[in-house]
Amino acid sequence: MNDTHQAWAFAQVDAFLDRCRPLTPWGRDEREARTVLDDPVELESRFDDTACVLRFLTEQAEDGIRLDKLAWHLKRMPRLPLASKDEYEIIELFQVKKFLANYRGAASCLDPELSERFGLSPDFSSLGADGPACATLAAELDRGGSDMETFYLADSYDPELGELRAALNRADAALRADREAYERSAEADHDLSFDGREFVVAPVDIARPLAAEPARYSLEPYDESRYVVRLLPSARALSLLEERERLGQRERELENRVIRRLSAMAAAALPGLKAAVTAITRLDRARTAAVLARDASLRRPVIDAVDSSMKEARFVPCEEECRSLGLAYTPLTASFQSGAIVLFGSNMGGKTVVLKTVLFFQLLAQAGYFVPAKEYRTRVYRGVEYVGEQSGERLAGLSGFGFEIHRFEKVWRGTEDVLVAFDELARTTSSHEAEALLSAIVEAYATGRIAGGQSSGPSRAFFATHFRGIARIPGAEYLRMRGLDRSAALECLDADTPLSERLAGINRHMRYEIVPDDPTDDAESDALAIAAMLGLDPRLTMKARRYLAGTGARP
Amino acid sequence: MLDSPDDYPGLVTFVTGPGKHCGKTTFMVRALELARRGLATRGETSGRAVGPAVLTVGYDGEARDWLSGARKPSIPVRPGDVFVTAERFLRSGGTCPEILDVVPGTTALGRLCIARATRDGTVALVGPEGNAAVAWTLDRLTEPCTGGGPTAGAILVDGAINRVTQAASWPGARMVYVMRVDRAGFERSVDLALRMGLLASLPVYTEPDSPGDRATAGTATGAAAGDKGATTGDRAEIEINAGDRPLSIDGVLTAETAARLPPRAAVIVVDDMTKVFLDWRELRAFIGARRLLVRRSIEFAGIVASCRGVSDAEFLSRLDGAPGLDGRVACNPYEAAA
Repeated sequence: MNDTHQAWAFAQVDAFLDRCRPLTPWGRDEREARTVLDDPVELESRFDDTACVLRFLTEQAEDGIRLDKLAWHLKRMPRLPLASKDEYEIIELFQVKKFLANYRGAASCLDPELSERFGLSPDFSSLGADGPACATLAAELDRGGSDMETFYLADSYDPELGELRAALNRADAALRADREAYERSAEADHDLSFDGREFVVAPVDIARPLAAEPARYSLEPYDESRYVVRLLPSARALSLLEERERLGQRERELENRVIRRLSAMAAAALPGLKAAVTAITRLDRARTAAVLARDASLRRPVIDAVDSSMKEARFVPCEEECRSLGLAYTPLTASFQSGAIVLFGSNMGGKTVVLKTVLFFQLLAQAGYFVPAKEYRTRVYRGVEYVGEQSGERLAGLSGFGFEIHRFEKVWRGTEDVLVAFDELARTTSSHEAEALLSAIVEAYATGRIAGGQSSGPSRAFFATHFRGIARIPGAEYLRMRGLDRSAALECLDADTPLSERLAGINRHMRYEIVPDDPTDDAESDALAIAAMLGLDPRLTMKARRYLAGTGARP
Repeated sequence: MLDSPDDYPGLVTFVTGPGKHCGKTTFMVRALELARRGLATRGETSGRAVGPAVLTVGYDGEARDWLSGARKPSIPVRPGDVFVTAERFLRSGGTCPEILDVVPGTTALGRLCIARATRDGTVALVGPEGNAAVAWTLDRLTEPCTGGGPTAGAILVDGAINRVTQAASWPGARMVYVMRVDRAGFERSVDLALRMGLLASLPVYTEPDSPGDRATAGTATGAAAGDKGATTGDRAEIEINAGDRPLSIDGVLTAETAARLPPRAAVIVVDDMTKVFLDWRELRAFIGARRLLVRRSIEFAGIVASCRGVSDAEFLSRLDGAPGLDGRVACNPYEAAA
């Protein structure tokens, strides 16, 4: 799939998918990658996955604990090393153990259908021939650690290690006892309490007598009236420290031997670990999509339709914005058959929102998500593109027109079988030339004569435009936004109505519906009515109407 | 103050001070021992032992010392203590560490992990650098582990003052300011202590509840800066006059930004005390002319001062009655009783 970044941003897909919460690191990677797929088989499989988890969520809704537990295990999945090594770091062995523990935990939360579908089983049997190596590794790593996730190089990994650590612990205990005896002696003989401190700052009158015992106390001046006093280790303690040092070196050798052995086991289990990560990623992806589908009332899209249609399709970012402004939102119901769909409409009539809705639905579907509509039928395109200006975006050195042509050229020369939306193409140039250019591009898409290589299917282009003078090409569809119900809108406004109410009035009486465009219809433009409703001087509006009528032109 | 085993369990104590070599690590070692004792007593009562945790935040000078090969002070730990360190130092202190988790992301010193000592030893602390990693680490340390209790029963965090916001704004967190006082820098030390007390006692600004209340400019809870004996523990509700519309400052309050403030702005609001970059004299002058409030208070446990060449009494006498410092100044925890 080509870079869909422009279309993705224009259609505000992130604004909707921000509510997605993948729980594993790999799920978050996928979410960040914004991958759009063009393989129908892969997409259908993802929809099946989502449907399967959605069924599970519904069935388990009353047993929240099981769902919480599944989420808990997924959330705790760490990244783990998936490259073969002779010797892993101890921290990497920990990651493998933690992953395996949570893999088993997650798998144990699933019902048989989910286990089967995603290839997840607590005993690793679903990994087939790679399962036993993972099971053996998990059992071995389980020997090190005080719970299912934590890890250390336990005594039990090597008989000599256990004996050696016992000796180390004895040395530590003897050192502590030695120190405590010295501390007690300092307190009894000199009224000097160390209380577990490595040193104390003692007044001169307490510190000076200690100088008589140089083998036991170390003194250094702190300031004019105080000394820093340290307890020196006894001869026995020095011997113990040496012994501890020697034991520590041997412990390190034995630990390295254990690490090498565990590393070999991890390397042998690597194919199984990779398969397990793939299965977990798939489950996380499906769970994320299913939770979104459940919470946002989404439906599975149909992706093998020739024509495209949508029933009560909600462009959620716009729906939410309308809600925050207290405005009504009208879901879109429409169908499209042609390779070129031209959409007319006045300002504020909703043309751009229709383009966004079309791309939003297509991108969601091809990213593997269910969609917010009663029904959405489409097919899979090899590319989803947008040609138009993004807010605040400019290409250095190019005018607005140059920028559009630059972007269109990239789409035109790129992949065929593309769904592309043009928003007000050539709006910054003269209307005469713009209409000529638009006509040529509409014709190219309507007749399927597109530049580039072999096509796996015809492209489909949507054009939102004000230019009503573009040619009526056979095979192209010409639609318009129904627009403003002027009489109803004007009735409810008077001269003193504040601007916010006027805007709300326009919104209330704007009919966000798509209807076939009649080229012979010369009814007045909504633009002048909207300008009047927004408070434009009536004398100017009247003059504009006279000009409009005098030229016979349509705005 | 801060010298009893009961002073630490259940709390996040952020230990900071004026730069390097101010005694933070030495204090941390003592605090860790006291926390360990406090938790052991509680463990005996509850039947479930849990150790303290110790970590640093930020990429400080000491971390750079590691990169340059210079020695970094290590912290002695006991079995059950939890610590955060870099992968490369994990096994070097002889603690036979049990890895509890790996901190997401990486640092200049590589990956970090949270580990528990199973044997006496020493650890080199290396901490998370970004806000998210610090939050994740503190969250993980307070998360229940097997058995139901938190992973760590008391948390000690060593960090530079500019990291206070990250750790000290954690629920149940407080800040300790550790400093060395000597004859040559005596006056500067007094100023630093007075400044900390004043900053810690700045009143907290509360947004008005409704748009209609905005004209009254909200309220502030806290001791009026300059009130003697005021502390963070006895904040009072202060009405701000309707005419004194608070002016919020995004970022830090420096002498330069203070000079550019509109003369009529009588009430100035900053995010928290760490955003005030005025020295003691500048701060005193500023508060003499305007009211300074914070949006978020940071619990101030107090100052731990190690005096050298100066008597504790002389230093304490200079702080007597200072805002925010009443009962909040302790002396060298290594001082032997005279």
